[in-house]
Amino acid sequence: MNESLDESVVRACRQGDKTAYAVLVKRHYRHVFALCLGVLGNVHDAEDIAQEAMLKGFLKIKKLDKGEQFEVWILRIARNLCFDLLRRRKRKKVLSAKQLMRCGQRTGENHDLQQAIRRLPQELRVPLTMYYFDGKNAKTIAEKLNISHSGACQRIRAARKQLHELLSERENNEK
Amino acid sequence: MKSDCEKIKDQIADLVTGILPEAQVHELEQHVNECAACRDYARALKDEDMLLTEFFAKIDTDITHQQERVLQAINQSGVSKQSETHLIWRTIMKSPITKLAVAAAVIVVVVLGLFEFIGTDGTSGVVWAEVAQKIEASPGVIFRSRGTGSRDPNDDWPNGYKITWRSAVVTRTDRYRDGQIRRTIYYNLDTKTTILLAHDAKKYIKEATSDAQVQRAQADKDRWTDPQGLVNFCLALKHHSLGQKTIDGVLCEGIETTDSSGLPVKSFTGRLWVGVETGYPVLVEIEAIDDGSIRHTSTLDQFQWNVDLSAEDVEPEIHTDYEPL
Repeated sequence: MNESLDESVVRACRQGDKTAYAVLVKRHYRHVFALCLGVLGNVHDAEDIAQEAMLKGFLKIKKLDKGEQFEVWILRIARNLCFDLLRRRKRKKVLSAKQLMRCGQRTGENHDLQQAIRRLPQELRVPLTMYYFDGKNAKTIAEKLNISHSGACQRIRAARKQLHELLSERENNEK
Repeated sequence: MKSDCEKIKDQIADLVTGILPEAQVHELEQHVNECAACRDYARALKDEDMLLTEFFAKIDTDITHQQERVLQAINQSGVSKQSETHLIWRTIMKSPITKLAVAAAVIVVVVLGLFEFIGTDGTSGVVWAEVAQKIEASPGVIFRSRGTGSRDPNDDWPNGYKITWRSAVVTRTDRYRDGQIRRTIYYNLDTKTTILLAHDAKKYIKEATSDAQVQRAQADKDRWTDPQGLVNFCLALKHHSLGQKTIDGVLCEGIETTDSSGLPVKSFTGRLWVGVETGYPVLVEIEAIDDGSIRHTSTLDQFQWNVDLSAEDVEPEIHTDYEPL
C-alpha cells in the first residue's frame, strides 16, 4: 500500500530534513491561514499566527507519530495559538489603536459584510471562512475540522442563514 | 412566507452553497418558482454568496511570501542540517523553454544516474534488479538535487538546490538560491500545460505545451523508465561494490562505476547508494569531466519514493500580483 505524501514527508522531517518540510508548508499553509482567519477575523493576526503555527509544527514534528494526520495536527496547533492570542486580548480587553486599524484593513471593501462575519459565533465563522477562502468544499472542511460531513454542512448552512439575518437587520436599521 | 417555508430555508441555503443533495434540487426549485417569499430569499442568498466570494477573493494576503518566510525562519533555526555532499551536473538555462527541457532532463539524469549502476553481479544484501522494479512501480518521487561546475551564468546550482516532484503525468522543479525560492517550472503532460514562475521578478508564464514538446518529453520518459531497456543498458556498465555505510541514519549499500563508455565525457564516476531495508535509492553522486575539461558534480538525495503526486498537489499557485512575462 502506498503511504500518503504527508506520511512520507513527515518521516523525512522527523529525521531533521528542513527541505522536506517545504512540501508540508506548500500543501497546508493556505488551510492553516484560512483557519486562523476564521478564528481571529483579521488578516494580520491570521498571517502572524499561521506562520507561527507552521514553525511550531516543524519544531515539534518529532512528536507526531502518524504522519498522515499532519493536517489535523497542524490545524490543532494553529487553533490553540489563535485561542492563546484571543485569551491575551481578552485580558487586555481594549484593543490598541493599531490593532483596531488592523481589523479594518486588507479585506474586501464591504465593511457591512466584514462586520457581519465578525459577529458570527466562532464555530460558524471558521467553517464559513474556510469554505469561501479555501475552495468551497464541505467535505475537506469536515476533514480539516475533524467533524462529520453533515456537521460541516450544517455549520455552513447555519452560518449563511445567520449572516443573512445580520445583513438584513443592518439594512432595515439603515432605512 | 408559509410555515413550511421555514424548513425550505435550510434547503435554499444548501442549494446556494452547493451542498444540497441532487435528489432534492428539482423539488426545491419547483417550490421556489411557486413561492414569492422563498424566491426572494433564494435571490438574497445568491447575492450574498457572490458578495462573500468576492470579499474573500479580495483578501490581501501573500500566501507564497508567508510560506517563504516560514521556510526562511526554519533555515535560520538551530536545527542541524543534514550532511551535504557535493553534486554534479550541468544545466543550460537560457530560456523558459530550455528551462522546461532541463526540468525533464534532470529527471532523465536522475534515472540515468540510478540505472547506470544497476547490475546483478554484486554480493550485497540489496537485490539490484528489484531496485529497478521498485523505481518503476513508484507512482511519484520527490528529491533534491545540487551541483557544481556549470559554465552557464544563469545556472543557480553552485549556490542553490532544486526540489523536484515527478510522476508519470507531472513534473515540477523549484529552484532555490541562498534559501530563497527563485524559479518554479511545472509541466503537466495530461493537460499539456507549462507554468514558469520567476518568483524574484514576480513574473509568470502559463501556456499550452506543444504536441512536439509533449511527445519529446514522453519519449524521454519512455526511454528511461522502460525497465527492460534500462536493465540491458545497466548490465553493459562495469561496477564494483562500495559495501555498506549509514547515510542520514539509513543503512545503505553502494556501488560505483567509472565506466564512461558511450557517454559524451572524458571521465565519469557514479555512485549509487540504496537503502538496505527499503530497496530505494537514498543518494546518487556523479562526477564527470566533459570534453572541455570542466568538472561537473551532482548530488541527488532526500528522495521520497512511492508517493502519490496529484496534479492538484504539485501545480504551483500563480499569485495574484505576478504579471505575465
